[in-house]
Amino acid sequence: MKSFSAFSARLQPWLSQRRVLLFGSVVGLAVVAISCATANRLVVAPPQIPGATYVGSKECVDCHEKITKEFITADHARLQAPGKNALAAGCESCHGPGSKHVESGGALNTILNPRKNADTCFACHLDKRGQFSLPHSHPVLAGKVSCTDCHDPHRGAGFAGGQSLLTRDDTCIKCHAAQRGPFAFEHEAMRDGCATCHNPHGTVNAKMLTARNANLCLKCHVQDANSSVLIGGMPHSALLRQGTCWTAGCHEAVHGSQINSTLRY
Amino acid sequence: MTQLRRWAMLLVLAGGLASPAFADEPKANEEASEEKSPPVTLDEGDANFANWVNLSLGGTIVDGNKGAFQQRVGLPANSVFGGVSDFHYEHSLTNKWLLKLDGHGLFDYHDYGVRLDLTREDRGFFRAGYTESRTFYSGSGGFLPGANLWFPLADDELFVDRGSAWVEGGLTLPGWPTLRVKYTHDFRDGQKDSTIWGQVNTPYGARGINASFYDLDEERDTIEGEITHKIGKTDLGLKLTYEMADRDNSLNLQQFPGTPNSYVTQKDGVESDLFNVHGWSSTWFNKQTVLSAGYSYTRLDTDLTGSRIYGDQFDPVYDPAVLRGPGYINLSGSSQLDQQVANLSFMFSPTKHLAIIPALQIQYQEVDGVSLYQPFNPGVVSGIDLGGVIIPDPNATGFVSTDTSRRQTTVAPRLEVRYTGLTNWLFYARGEWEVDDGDLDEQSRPVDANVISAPSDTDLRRSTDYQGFLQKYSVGANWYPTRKLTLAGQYYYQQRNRDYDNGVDSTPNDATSFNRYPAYLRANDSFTHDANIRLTWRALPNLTSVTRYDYQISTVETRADLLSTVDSADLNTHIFSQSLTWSPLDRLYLQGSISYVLDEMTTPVSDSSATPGLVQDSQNDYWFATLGAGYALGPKTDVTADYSYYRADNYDPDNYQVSVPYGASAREHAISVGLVQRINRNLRCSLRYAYFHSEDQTSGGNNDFDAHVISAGVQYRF
Repeated sequence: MKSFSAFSARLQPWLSQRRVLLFGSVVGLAVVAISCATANRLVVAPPQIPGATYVGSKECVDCHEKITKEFITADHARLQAPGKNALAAGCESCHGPGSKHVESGGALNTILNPRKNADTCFACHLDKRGQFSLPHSHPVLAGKVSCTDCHDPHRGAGFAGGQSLLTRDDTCIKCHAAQRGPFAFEHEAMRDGCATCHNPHGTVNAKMLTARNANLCLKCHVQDANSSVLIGGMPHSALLRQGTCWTAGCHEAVHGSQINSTLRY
Repeated sequence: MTQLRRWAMLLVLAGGLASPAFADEPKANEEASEEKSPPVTLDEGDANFANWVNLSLGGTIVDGNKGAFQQRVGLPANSVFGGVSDFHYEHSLTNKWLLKLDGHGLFDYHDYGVRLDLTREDRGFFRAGYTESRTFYSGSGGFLPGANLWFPLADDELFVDRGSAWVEGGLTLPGWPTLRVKYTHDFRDGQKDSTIWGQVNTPYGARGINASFYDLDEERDTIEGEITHKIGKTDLGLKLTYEMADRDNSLNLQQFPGTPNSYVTQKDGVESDLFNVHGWSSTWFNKQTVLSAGYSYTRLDTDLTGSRIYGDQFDPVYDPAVLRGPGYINLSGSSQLDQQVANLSFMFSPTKHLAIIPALQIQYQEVDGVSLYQPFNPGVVSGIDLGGVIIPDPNATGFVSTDTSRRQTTVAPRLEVRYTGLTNWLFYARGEWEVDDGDLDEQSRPVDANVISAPSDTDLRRSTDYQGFLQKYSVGANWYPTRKLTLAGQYYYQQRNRDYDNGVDSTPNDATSFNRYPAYLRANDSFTHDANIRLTWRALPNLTSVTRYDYQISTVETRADLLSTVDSADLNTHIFSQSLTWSPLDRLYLQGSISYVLDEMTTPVSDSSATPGLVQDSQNDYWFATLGAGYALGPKTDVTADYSYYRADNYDPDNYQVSVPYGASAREHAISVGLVQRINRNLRCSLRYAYFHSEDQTSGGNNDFDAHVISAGVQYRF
């Protein structure tokens, strides 16, 4: 490794922005110049299906009767406006243009599957793409978790069965079972849901916390912010010098405790 | 083998895999077929192939913090990896049976999976599979500038393996109920980091910055049975689930390294049995009118064990002579949770352009739990009370019992209206309400006289009635003014109110009381305004732009007993997002996206001039940008290039003498270049190189890394 580090160090002066830009431009132009003489064909940007065109959601009904029938209850059904301008809105908003899929009788690789690749979800939920790219996020981009693991894109929350019968945190608990409890002393915030403290799509903070410092707790627990921060009748200034409420060795059991009513451990 | 040798070997292997691409000239008829069906850069799009196998081989060279690299990139550091990255085979057997096999197996980072699907139309199916994947974590603690203190774990390259094995069978006979039975075994095993850090001594006092970790060992077995049937216009379903779970986890941290018995191990053992039955029905009067109803009952029985023990290493045996810090031994307990959920919805369209969806969910939850444990606290004078005479006895500690019960009813109606009376427009509005009503009783009391702990920790009782009311109102519209333009906008207002009435409270809440928790908060309310707007514009046939802006503002108000309401937090978030896809040439595409986020949470403490730096404003700003390109380099060759940049700049180390600075500041570059060579219609090879550069200011640069990743792949489609 030392030899590699030395090599990298020697390389560093050559990696100035200007030189990299110049080198990249020359290589790029050379590649374009050479290849223009040898190829003339189409490439498409993902997520698209080369050569496919939009056919409208009605074409999907024959084979996917159950999903298309229940889809009217889904939030995504709100994309389906009347009129020709909205032809592409519906099934093909997420699954891509369906002509090749229809022509082939449903061949597997002629349609996009957002469960495997969330790029079509990000076409509208662009903000989530940035969040899932953060250092602390569920591994959707790596393909280990999909949007549909937590959200049902085909049915509404009020439609009976399935996810509609889940309670507030069941979506999270099915994987994070240790946080389910029950605890002898629960943290009331858990009743309002995991999103009280975590953003499941991703944040800049470890554990997808919406705040990394004591503000995460103070937003509900501060009573006085004067010379000695008062929480629960107890001056906390000296304790907050040591870190956050849960990293300073005082309230580790943030999800609930089997032992201690102040969630000490 | 040295890393350089590995690197050289990778290059040779990768070159060997890619080189045949340039030697195989296409035949004339193959060229002709390509005119009709041009080569593509995606796997999708070619219906002529149903099966494929992808092989890959790669390696990483990392300079810097390997744990941080593994966590961020998801690959093992300084290692070779490879195998079957994707495999799919399907074949029609006799008698209409269709066999599907899927799998992947990548060594050295434990990413394995195999799935068998045998289906006969109108008869049934049999499925089985196994998956396992590894998630990496970095065992970093906190960094204290000024003193330049950094205490990572001795081995900070942590990982957790998650896996699942299942077998499933079903009957799908026409006209008969559809039956499905499934058994699943899930597991989670390994170590991951925690933000519950241990303390260290610094020139500025004690600071909690010493890295810690969780040791996880979890298993879960689930049996499911489901029956669905259609009777007339009604779809019916019934599902039973039985789940047995076993978790033996521990939190491991070290308090004040270098001092005696500084290792703390908190073990949490849980064995649980969960039974769930739920049924549902949906009756379709026509395509736009449906009545649906569902009911679910869950019973969760849990047995607990646990301890929190100090010693001179992790997982020590309890020694009463070790008088280090508060803990407990011999926790044993049990709890029962009963939960019922029922819902009902009716979607109907009184006119052609109007859809109305009222829905109601009612939930009732009942939780009861008891436990026994032996606490110890060297900070408390301990001993045996013999008629008012305390005899110190550090070798004995009595039992404490806890008793908890909670009842909660939640009624959650919702109403949605959609209107499509204007061509190319859709309007919607939705109201959601949740009314919670519950009561909570908690009691802790010493069973024995010689309990070694502070009475305030072990002798208390509360009885609290609480009510919650959540209301959320959303309105939005989607407009398609032309086929090339889509405009979407949405706004919602959410208000959540929680009130607590503490009927019994063993900890007084007056000004003289030193510890007023639990049963101290009387009200907690939050108010949120959220709006977003999206513009999708296909300005040209080869140019698509998506612009989105999200804004959210929230305030939190809290009222403690005998005090007035405090504006306890203000939260503001702006998210600007933009993507652009442009194909200036048929053979070239360019894609770019950017997210720029301003996010802030402030509280009276972070705003207070009386406590400057004690708690900083929580800034969570960042921006993230990507740029990608694909180019048809030749008749059978594609080249792709991607670049991404992440920047967060929220770190203000100025308060290091007062507390620990936490703001996230990091800068990351990731560059990758790929080459795909199509050798013939079945075979293609790929070569990809990526470079990562990561700087983490929050860790004082201790998590920085530079990394090279090269991989080669072969895809065979048939």
